Amino acid sequence: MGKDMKPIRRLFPRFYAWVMFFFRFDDRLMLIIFGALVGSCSGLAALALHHGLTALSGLIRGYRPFWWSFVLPGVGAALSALFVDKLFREGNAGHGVPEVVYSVSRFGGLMRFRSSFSPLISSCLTIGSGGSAGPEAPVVMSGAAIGSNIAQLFSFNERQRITLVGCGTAGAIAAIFNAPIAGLVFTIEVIVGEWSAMNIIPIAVAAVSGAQVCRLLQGNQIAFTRLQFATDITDTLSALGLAVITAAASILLTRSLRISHRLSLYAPAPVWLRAAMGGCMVGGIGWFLPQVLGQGYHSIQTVVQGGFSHGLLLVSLVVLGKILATAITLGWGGFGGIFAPSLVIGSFSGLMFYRFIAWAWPGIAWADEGCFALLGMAGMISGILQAPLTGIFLIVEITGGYEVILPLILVSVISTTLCHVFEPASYYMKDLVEKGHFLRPRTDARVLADLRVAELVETDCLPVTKEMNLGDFIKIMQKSRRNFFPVEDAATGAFLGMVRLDDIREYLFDPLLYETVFIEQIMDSRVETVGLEDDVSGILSRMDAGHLFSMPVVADGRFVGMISKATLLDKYRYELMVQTGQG
Amino acid sequence: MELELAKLAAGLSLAPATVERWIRQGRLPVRQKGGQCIFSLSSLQKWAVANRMTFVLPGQAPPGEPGNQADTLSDAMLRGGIFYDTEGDTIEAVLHSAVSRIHWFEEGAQKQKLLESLLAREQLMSTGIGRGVAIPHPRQPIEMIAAPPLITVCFLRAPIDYHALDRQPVFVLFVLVCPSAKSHLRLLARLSYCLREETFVDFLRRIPANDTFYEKIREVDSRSDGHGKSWERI
Repeated sequence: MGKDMKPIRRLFPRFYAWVMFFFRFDDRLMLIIFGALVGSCSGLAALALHHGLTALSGLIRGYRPFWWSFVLPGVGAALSALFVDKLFREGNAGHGVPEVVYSVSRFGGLMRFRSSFSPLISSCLTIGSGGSAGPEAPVVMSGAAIGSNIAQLFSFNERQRITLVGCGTAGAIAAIFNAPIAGLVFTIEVIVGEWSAMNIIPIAVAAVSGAQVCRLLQGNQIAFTRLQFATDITDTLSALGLAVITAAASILLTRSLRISHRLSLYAPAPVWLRAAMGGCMVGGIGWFLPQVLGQGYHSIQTVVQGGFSHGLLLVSLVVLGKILATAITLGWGGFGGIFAPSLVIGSFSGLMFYRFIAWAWPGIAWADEGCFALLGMAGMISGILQAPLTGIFLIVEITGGYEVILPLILVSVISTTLCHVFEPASYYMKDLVEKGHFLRPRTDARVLADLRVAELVETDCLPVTKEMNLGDFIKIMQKSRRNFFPVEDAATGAFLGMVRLDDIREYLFDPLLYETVFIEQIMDSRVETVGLEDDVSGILSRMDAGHLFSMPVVADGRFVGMISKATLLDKYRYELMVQTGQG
Repeated sequence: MELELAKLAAGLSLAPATVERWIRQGRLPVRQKGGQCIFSLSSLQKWAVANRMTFVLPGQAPPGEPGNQADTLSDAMLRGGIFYDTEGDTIEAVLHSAVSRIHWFEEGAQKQKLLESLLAREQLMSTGIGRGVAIPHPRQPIEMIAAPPLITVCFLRAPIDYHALDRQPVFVLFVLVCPSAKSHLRLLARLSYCLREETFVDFLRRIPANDTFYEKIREVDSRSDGHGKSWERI
């Protein structure tokens, strides 16, 4: 990763020195300036994808009436998969956001240069041809990669790089939705996971500049215009019911995405063919329910404005169809995010709930159906991302609907809570959590992941050989400060075992044994060892399981030193202080 | 200023791998250029204080307890001095004249305090360890003055009854005064190692002159270091 380009430091040393001179004493100003730059760049990326999608779907729309149009999403998905797999070798091509979180967690925000444009192209092919996916996650990935690469270009350290990755995502979300607060909140809540002044200020600036670029080039428009809603206490209370519906839809979408991906692995076909099959299935669903195709912003607009007049049955069908189409598109190899599909599913779930309560309690004066669509979107986004603040701010900003804030907050937080009960980790994070790659700042997992065995090893143990007798050993023991003695082969230096003072204490005071007992007889040759590359949390659980207090570190068959819980506590404390002391 | 990574790590008492990682992660106000670390001393010290660590430039003595230097008998005796014809025919009298010769302590209260603590130790049990040798020392480390560990050797004008273990009259005192228990134990162990040897005691009986005595002690010091530094880890 990150080998694609040379840092500016080496290409233009004088320019680099000049830039760094300004920011040597404090990097806050530097991060703010670079944050604005990164935010603008990812705003441009968002606009590029938006225009690409508009052009491609305009082109496709002409072919929609033909009977064979159901293969179009298949062709798009196949091209997209080919592009990702063959041309760019992205490897485990995912949906954008988990990759960004993974790189922030594990590699200090290191991302490849090609990741700054390849997600745009491949998601444009998938979504523009009718696949059910969203353009947000690809833009987020692209913005994050832009931030990461600018940081690499200027040889920034990891903390600064993570901040710029955050700036990229904030700029991307701010630009796509024209929603700067949602960009800021999404980045902090989902990507960076740390509320500190060090992060928030540059990220806020990036969100502003991303949204500003978008407004300059496209005009300041709210994504979904709507009517005025008047909400009452009945609507606030009904939000409780809607939260249950959106939580159920979120869980259904999360699980069907995973099941669909697992099913696709059974298909004995190359990646592109699998994507094509998935795309054709989606095309088939779209033949009957055209609302499920594409990113679906048009459908949301219709629903929010109250223009979708069909009954409860069809609305429910659209909800299920969209969940199915999204699961197949993404699970079978299409490239895109779940943001936009979640908004569509959420708006139709809200509408479904409205149709139901309007039928069940016709006497009550409910708010407009558009209002429920809006609440449904908030519930769905909060549920699937398990990020309630993102849901609240995003919906308020993209609809300008501050007057529905009371039921909106309620539906978001309850939906998040319910989803958390059934799915402890959100869809984005589930894989990362399972593989132990989900490391939030200031957590135990983060500190343990940062500590390496090489930093913890104590090398002041005195080695002995197995041919030594107890008398020789006691002379060495007098010099040692430790209770552990590694036994090494006299000729090769290979590690053979350990002598523990605790085990041999009873023989030490018997001079008769000094000449007759040899180390070979008292050493423990089946001692558990750890390697230099072992993971510290794994070592700790092995220590706990074996009731061990320390373990020998062995590399290439040779003894390196000891690792003990006492030193670990010492280093852990330092690490914790240093990691939590900033901000 | 610039420092090598290993030296910077030593100054912070951290593993070099940790310092390298902290620089990479941007947790330490230090930039790395090749093997060199570039930083501003004041901001690094500010950082260390904020994170409850210490940063000591290599070459500067770490703020630790005094007397951390290698305690050798010859150094301690050079500081304490060797005196002949010490007067007195009781324990109290010889200790009084011994204390009066230790110039590290001020006349009056300080010397009085030292004498009292030496006598208190004698009351507990005689420090006459046999073969005519006594090692008077206070029970607790003397903290009131900033003196390094010292041994004052006093040959007596006439041997006296010191209530020694073997009832032999004592002809020489090794007054041992240390600022810390650690250096006290270390010097005591070295001293008792010498005094165990018959030849050393015979050497003492001949009441050697200043230079011969120091030479002998230096030889003993180098011998015990050559012995595998068993002193260092007592």
